[in-house]
Amino acid sequence: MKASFFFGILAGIAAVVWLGWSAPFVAQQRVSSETRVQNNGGRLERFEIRLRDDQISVVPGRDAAPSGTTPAQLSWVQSVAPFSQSASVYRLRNESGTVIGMASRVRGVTTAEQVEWVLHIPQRGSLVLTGLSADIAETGEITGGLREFATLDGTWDARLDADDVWRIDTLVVAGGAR
Amino acid sequence: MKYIAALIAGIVVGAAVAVLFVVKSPYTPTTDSRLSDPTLTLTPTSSGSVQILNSATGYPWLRQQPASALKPEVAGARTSVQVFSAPTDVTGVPSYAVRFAALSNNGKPINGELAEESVWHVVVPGYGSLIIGGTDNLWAFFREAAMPLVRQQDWRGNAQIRTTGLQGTESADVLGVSGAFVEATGRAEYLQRVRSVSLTQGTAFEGQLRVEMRFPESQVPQVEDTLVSEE
Repeated sequence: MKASFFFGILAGIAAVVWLGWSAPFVAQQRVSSETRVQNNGGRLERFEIRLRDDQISVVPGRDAAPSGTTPAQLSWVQSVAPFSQSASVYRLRNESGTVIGMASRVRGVTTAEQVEWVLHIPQRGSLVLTGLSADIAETGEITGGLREFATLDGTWDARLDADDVWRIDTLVVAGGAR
Repeated sequence: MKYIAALIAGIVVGAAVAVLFVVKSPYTPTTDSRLSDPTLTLTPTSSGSVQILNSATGYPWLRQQPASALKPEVAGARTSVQVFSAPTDVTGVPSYAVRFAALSNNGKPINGELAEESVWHVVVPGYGSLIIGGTDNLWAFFREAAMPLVRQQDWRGNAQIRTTGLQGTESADVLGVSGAFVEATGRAEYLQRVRSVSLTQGTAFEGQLRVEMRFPESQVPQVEDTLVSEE
């Protein structure tokens, strides 16, 4: 009986070590990408932001017309903002409408027209887009990224459609690894 | 029958001893700084005047601030977002910083790891913007605060969280995005000292984000004189 007990102790310790080593302590899912190969070269991936549903925060820049924040209770001092126009944080959706990440958009870090996006998708990485903004239409280049997006080159454009949805098209050029 | 009972009792005792060893082990992941001479340092904290927004899905120790803030609700992922107006040593006014984080499948508790991927988007007044990507190890914090949180109790202590690099490197990766930081790269580390977790007030912490930039020689920006002279 003693031998059974001591064997059980060893088995219990081994089970915990095995579980601690191999079992997923955190089980994060990874949503499949909806990338399309283009006829004329490159791979297109479209992201969407529904302004009515996906605005986590919006704060105005120092040169923007005085306005409130989203949500309204933020302790934001507009006059010392380090950008001139606005900064926003959104949920980020794929083309099918599933929330797959979050996005940060800042307009006016250098000039009033300059815009930059950071699209962050957990378990995949982050994509940095910089370019020029004309309020509801933006275009520019893929500036860089982290993890899966670290070696991508390409272009992007975004438009705010009449249904209050930002549609951001990223076009990665074929063989775009740096 | 009694042999089976002894075996089961042994397994329970062995498993309990192993779990206690993992949870109470004196091993603590290092929090020593690897950056001796940072180019700039941001000091975000949880106080309301500098952390202007905190929103999370699946992080029981983070409080929604403001309560009306929209949650990330990323499909199948525990994610959080913080927005800071963070004091910065090289400027007179605070930087704007967004921190996205998501728990990661990569950490192994047996190694003292509870991993979180984090990405910062930082706008430094008068300089430009950059992003920082790294992996945070929440194990030291989780080991101390988990049981009180499970028991629905407040926790007070001093646990440190440190950010390392993405590919097992010791520092987080930095990528310049705009302004003076265009085409600059670098490394960074984020050290967070967690003081308490309250079921009603959320987590109280003080952070220090240290960034070391490397500028291409052909593109030393004018506004960067202060930074260069410090190197």
